[in-house]
Amino acid sequence: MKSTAKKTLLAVIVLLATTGFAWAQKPHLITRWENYTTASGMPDAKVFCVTVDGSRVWAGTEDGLVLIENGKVAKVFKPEDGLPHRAVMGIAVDKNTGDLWIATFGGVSHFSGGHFENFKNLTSGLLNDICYGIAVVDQYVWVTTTAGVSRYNTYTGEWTNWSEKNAPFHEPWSYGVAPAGDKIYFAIWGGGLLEYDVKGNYWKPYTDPDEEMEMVLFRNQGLVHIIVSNVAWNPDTKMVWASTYFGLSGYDGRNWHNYLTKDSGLASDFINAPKSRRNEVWACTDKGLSMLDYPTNTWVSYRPSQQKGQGEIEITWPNGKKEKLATPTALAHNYILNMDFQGEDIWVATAQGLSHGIREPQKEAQLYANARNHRSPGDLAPSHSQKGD
Amino acid sequence: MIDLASGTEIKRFSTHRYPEQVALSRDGRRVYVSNILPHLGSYDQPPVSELLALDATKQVVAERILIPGAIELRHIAEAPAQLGGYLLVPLVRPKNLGPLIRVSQGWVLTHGMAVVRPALHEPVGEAESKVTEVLLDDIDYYFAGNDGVAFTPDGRRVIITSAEANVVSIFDTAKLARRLQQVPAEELADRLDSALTFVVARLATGHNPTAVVVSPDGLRAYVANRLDDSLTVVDLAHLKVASTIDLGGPKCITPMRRGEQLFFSAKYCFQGQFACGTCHPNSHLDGLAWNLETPQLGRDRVANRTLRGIRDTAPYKWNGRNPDLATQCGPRIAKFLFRSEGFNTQELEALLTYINNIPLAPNRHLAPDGQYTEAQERGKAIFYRRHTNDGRVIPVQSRCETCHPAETHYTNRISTEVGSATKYDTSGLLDTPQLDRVYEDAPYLHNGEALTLEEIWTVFNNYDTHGITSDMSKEQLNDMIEFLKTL
Ligand code: HEC
Ligand code: HEC
Repeated sequence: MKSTAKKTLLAVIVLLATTGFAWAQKPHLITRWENYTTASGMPDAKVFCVTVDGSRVWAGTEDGLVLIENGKVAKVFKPEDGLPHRAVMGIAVDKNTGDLWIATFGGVSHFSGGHFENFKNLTSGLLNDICYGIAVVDQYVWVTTTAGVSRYNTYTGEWTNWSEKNAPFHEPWSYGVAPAGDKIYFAIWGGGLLEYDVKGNYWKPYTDPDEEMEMVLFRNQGLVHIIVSNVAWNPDTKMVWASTYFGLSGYDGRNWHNYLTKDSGLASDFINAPKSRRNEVWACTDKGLSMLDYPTNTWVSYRPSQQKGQGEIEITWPNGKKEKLATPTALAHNYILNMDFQGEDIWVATAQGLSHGIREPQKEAQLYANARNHRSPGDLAPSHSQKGD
Repeated sequence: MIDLASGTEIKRFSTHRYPEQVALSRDGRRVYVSNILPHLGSYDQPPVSELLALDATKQVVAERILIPGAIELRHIAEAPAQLGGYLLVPLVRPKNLGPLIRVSQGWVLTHGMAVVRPALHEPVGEAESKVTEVLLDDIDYYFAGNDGVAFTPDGRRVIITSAEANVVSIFDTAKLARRLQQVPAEELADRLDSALTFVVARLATGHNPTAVVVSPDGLRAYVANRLDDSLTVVDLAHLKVASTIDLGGPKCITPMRRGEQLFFSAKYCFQGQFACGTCHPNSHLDGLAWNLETPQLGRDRVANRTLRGIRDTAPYKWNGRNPDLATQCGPRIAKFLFRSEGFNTQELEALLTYINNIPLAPNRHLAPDGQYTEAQERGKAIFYRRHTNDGRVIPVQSRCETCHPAETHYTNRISTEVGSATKYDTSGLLDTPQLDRVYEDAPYLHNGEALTLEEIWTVFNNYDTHGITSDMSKEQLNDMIEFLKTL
């Protein structure tokens, strides 16, 4: 007992100390954008997804799969090259084999060594050809489809399907998938978040506790809304993040943390996808790209500004104060569909092209130096999402 | 990929069907894997085979090198760097789309090798290696079953075995290079006058020479005669057989071994064009559909059938017309297939002994203790179900077990119509196939149109003529397929 108490005290002190340091820091900024559009060889303006594999960047568009390498469109793959459908919704890299697994509106494709091997509902055990998300975990490929979730065992060729028939799906429309160690999370459009326990082989649903479509009655007591568009897992903080069309939800295994535009720096409540790593939580919204620096509750949102070509950064400090900075380059569009990380950089799929967001520490320092509205360390966040229970 | 220190598997790469040989490149940067069976593909297109190239440093798939028009890729030999480091891979070029009556005109199955110039830079996601195919047959005699291949250390010569001709050929690489320069690549694959320009010797070996190595001093080649338990030693300076090393196999040849030798011997075929084993590699099937006996192009095309575990599955052939194996393999073969005298009575007996005893492969989908997985268990119930999901009784003649009973290898040995015939079939009455190890028999159905087990029902059973399957959910169909894979 005694030692436990001591340990707790120590933990509190350490926690205070670290948060103290963290909020004293300003969030990093993306200061330069390089855009890939139809003018630079993209087959279609609309980019659904982007996946980084080392120095290679794969993008899924409305009209084909794109490989970006050395700063240019290196290769475009279309149905005539073997792709099962032109609309590419999800791309996953199998780190073991270097192969790609691709979710399209015409089934799943295994792209290996320059060759597409396709799986469709009629030719394989795939549940449905309208596929959205895809992930590779060990020998398994997980696919979210409009009719539920399919899992392909690459060793045995076995397909296993889950839907409202054999698992707690409120709705079958499965949009996103996020492997999370022993668990795998699924974003179900209209059905909340589903958790699959890999070892125990069981499912657990998370839905909106008040079941109110447009309202959040119990703040932070559950998922903000059951229309979940996508899901992400943060391996560093072990938190799962769900994007909904009515706000952003995070779950740390005990408590929910919900964010709405009205009391945070989130660019919009309509969110297509979250992404998260380290202290960062990113939200791809219909009105720009937002990043929450989780420990300090500082928000940074990116969008093209009204001025042609310029980019706008809006920082929302923990005290709610907002500050706008300008960058000479901008995101390709403010309608953001998805993103991925590449070292310190990010890649962003937008409705009008693919954007490469670059961090330049010197430029960042300049931007902060020029900014007048400095936050003083005293203004710590009362508006940080409240803990549940 | 296995960690030798701990003996554990690190990772697994998907090859194609029947991965055959693995070779590490001389610089240690690439690992190549050849495959015997071609990709599953459209029945009216020539087959495409695959040579898998792994990046040995990054330990990922680098390239799947496609070898068009070919099947049965065997050993892989890499030329020394001073010759450009190209690869040689023995292969077979089948002309399965045309009627087989053309044996007397040649060209049904030709034998050669792929000359592959691998793209060694970082691939940009697209296969980029250059592939040229060269035949090793002569105009009036073929050399079937090319298998082992090796360069001399100086790269001047190549030794290649023809396992079904019981021959090793030795050729001159400088002359091969000249041939490759002189004739356009797209023509070479179909020219029977290539070998005479670069082959310098053909030497007789023992039965079924499958592999060859060259001594480091380049003076000797050693050839493994698989069905003789012996090595043929080749004197490379004088281009002759130096000796044969007996490895102490049985002195008395059993009918079983004699039969296997015959099965893998092309000398019974007109001009030595092919052996039984050419179309039935590993005593199984070649993954192709053939236009066997009809003179009409494209009619009555039949998928090849496995020879594993077929002793008690008579009648034979998809049309169920051959009552026993003697009929299937006897005079008919001689007349229709081999266009020659064929086997004498003793030989036929030995061949039948062999074919009657080809074992089934161990089942990869069944747990060692025979315990079913949950999906297999559910699938079994579906295979044996007597009611549809909405409670209707399934008529006896529509139940899987009626036509595919477990006691007799999952075939009732009766021919029936299951609605799978097309306008190209003379009759819709088809032999009910046995289902033992059916997972390795793709493509499926008599004409090979179903590329996967799923397609048998999703594509070719729209009217519930082949069992009642239209009421099944996707989960139920998947489960049934998991069960079929345990048979
Ligand atoms: C040109 C390729 C080819 C060659 C050479 C060949 N086969 Fe076949 N074999 C086939 C095909 C195709 C079928 C299926 C024919 C059918 O069902 O109508 C088949 C079917 C068979 C079957 C019937 C299996 C069953 O279950 O019905 C047997 C037995 C057989 N072959 C044995 C042999 C033997 C023995 C030889 C050599 C003497 C041989 N084959 C040579 C292509 C070949
Ligand atoms: C009326 C008899 C009959 C019934 C009932 C029947 N089958 Fe068949 N089955 C056949 C025949 C005949 C073929 C060959 C058809 C062809 O080749 O076109 C066949 C082919 C197959 C094949 C393909 C084998 C191969 O090597 O190509 C499989 C697998 C199979 N059946 C499984 C089943 C299952 C599972 C069921 C129950 C859902 C079933 N069959 C019901 C007669 C039947």
